[in-house]
Amino acid sequence: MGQNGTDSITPQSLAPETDAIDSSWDDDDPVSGVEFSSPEAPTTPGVRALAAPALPELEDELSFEDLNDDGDRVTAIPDVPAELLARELMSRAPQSAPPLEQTAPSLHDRETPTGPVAPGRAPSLELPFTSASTPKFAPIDDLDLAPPDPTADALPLPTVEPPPAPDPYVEMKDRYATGDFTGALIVAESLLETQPEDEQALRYASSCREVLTQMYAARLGPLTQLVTVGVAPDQIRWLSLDHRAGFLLSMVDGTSTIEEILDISGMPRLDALRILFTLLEQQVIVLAPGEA
Amino acid sequence: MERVIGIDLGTTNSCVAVMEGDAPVVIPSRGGYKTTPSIVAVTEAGKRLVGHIAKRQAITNAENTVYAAKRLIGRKWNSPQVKNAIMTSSYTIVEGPHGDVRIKLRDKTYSVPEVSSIVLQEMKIVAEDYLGETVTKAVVTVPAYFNDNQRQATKDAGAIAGLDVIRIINEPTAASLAYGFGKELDRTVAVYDLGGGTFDISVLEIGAHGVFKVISTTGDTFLGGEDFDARIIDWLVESFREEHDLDLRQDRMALQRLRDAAEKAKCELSTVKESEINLPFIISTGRNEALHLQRSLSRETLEKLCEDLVERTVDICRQALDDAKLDVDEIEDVILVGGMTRMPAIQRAVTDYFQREPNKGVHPDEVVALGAAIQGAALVEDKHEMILLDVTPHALGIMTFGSYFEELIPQNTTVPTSHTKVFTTSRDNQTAVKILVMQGESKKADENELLGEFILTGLRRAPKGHVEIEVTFELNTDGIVSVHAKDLETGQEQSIQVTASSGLTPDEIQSMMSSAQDYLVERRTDEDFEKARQEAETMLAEIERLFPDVERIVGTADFGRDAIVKARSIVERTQQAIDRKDTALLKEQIEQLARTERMFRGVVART
Repeated sequence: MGQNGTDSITPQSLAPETDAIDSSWDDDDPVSGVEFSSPEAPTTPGVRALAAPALPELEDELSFEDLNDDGDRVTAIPDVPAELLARELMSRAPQSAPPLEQTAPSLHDRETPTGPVAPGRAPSLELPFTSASTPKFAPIDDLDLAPPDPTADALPLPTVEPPPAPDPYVEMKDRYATGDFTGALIVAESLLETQPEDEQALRYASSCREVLTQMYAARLGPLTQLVTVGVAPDQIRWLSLDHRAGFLLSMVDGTSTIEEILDISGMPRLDALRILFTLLEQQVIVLAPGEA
Repeated sequence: MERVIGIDLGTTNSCVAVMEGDAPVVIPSRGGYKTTPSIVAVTEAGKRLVGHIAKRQAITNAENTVYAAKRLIGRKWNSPQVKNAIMTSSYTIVEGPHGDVRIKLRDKTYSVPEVSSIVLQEMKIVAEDYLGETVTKAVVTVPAYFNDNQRQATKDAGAIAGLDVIRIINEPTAASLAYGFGKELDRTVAVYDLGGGTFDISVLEIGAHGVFKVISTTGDTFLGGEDFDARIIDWLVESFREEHDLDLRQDRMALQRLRDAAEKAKCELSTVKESEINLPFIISTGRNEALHLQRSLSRETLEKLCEDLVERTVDICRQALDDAKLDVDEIEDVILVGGMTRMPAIQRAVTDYFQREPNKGVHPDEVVALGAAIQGAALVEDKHEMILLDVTPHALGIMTFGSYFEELIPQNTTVPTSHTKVFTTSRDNQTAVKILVMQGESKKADENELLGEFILTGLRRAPKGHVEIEVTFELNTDGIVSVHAKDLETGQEQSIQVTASSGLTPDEIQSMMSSAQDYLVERRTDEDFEKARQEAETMLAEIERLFPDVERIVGTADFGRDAIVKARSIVERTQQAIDRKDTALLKEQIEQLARTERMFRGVVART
């Protein structure tokens, strides 16, 4: 079991159509019981890696093959703004939502996805917002921008039917099933923008938030750790931050713990955790064990 | 002998002190702070925040953050102060079941004493952590103008927090007590108290043998350090608007940062002449770029921005001396109370007005709590020469014809006491009189607090002024006022007993006490667990570090493999205990972990 408590990644609330949410989103996380990290080589700053044995409850579900399957890992947000992508999908969605499927996405499902996947979307080992190795996506309408062929009139090409528009519900489930909780959340939130009472989207959104919250919390390590600024005060303004990150950074006083910063930020917990994790990755903040 | 703590339960900040040996000392919190903001908040996750942490989110979670609850304590729902608070507060104030005031935070409604009890409980915890023992007795200070209901509500807040408030004393009296501690003084002093949210000025006579008489007290409950901060915020917002055409007030995060920065700059400018305000990434523009705010504020600018606020305090001082019927030169010393009095402009204004340098011998943030601690110790040690006399904070009397207030027990009368006066009818053939029992100093009855009323009937029909009614006020040591009215001719009698009330029933107080106790137990348990968790995690990390070496050294032998399996099992059980937050199991595992760690170290050391 990982020291960071990642064994509890399974959402506490009712997970949508799933028997259990795979915890192996964290490719560095040793909880899977197979990819043991060496304690000398922690994979994430601030997270101490422990070579712990597999969780008993996961042993039944996971196999070596499972863990080599990238599909169950967190994928990056595509560079095509996911909201745009989701909106595009929404615009092509049928008016009435399909009934809730009773089949739960399983590890097997991940290997053979049933629904259409967004163009160019590929599972990645990167967490969202670490865009360096994020696969690039062409904008959905790029092909329409090609200059017209002057010979088109003379030699008309055969009409090609565009591929069927992906159903956002399928897209949402698909992303969820493949462990792309961020992507699934974006699609779910887009659905909720137009149908705020949509039960299925609500359930997915809630479950995604819960998983992502636990995921970022686990990545940060114990929330009792003290947070300090790792950059000289006169250098801060040269960082590439938005005002929300700037606000959270202003809460870092060297005496507050992660938990306290989350409490006082006034932001949704997921957002605050995500920003803190980004700041940690960029070494803008540093974590140190807190005192009881 | 049990220690008694002294608590200055302020509108903006609170402070706790205790006698250590012969000297009173302020108790710092774990974070090293000597004062704690009197702010309570409930987060979205339902977690309760108190003090500095609550203050730091006061703007971003404004609807669920209570500040200045003291302005509401013991007040009735229909009082003008409550109406004013409803208009100005960011949190929701609702009517309680007994015409009292309640505050809504998230999905729960709290009485005002309950909110104050949360602050008092925090002070109790600070004291217990420092002293290493349970604290159950306290002396709590209140403004001199607090009436009996407000004092009772403060006592109830203490009871809810698990504190027996053995005495309520006036803030200026506590300040004078600390000022005069260890000295034989006989003089008239002014206590100038400019806190975070309120301003009070009191004139006291300090006599020999522990006589501290408040001659006059007045103030403004909406004038304090926050107003000075607001001026700095306005200045920053305005200059940013001029530069970027953006209103920082529209963004709560920006406003929270501005408030924190303004307060910091204000404090700095008490000691330096210029302060840098640097708020990077304060707001994002529509073009998705973040802007920085960087300004330099000089002391001179700050003083210009706040000139009128300082002047207002001087006007109120003038009023206090008028009320006391004293000239400025009759004031023999000025005691400064409240962090704002560190501001050089304030000190200059006080010096100019009172024509003397204010006393520098007492700490403005701590002096009130120190005085309360002195009084607490004197009460339990029975040091009569230092025990303050328990006096009526306000005059007691009845309303007479023409809506005038007729005083029966004057302000500052030592209790217990009894006073009688004879009144006559005001109309011809009047057969009944209504006795309205009131508290206050105003000659106009409607400006005083109505405590209760009753009717004396069966009077003889006679021309006005011919029927005599004797009214007697009795005030006992518990603050209970009994009023009797008697027709002197017929002997017909009627009476009423008025007990100060916080607006809470005894059952409600009991239930709140039990909730507060539960919270305390839960918090202590969490702290206990947290301590154990950290201890365990330190050992876990060390064991994990040693595991590869141990496996390499003894892993091939049977006994070695057994030991490794056993160690793994201990590590796992420890993790389970952490995950389940099982403190008892975790403590058991800590012993096992310590043995494992020793064994591992031994194995590695032998090679």
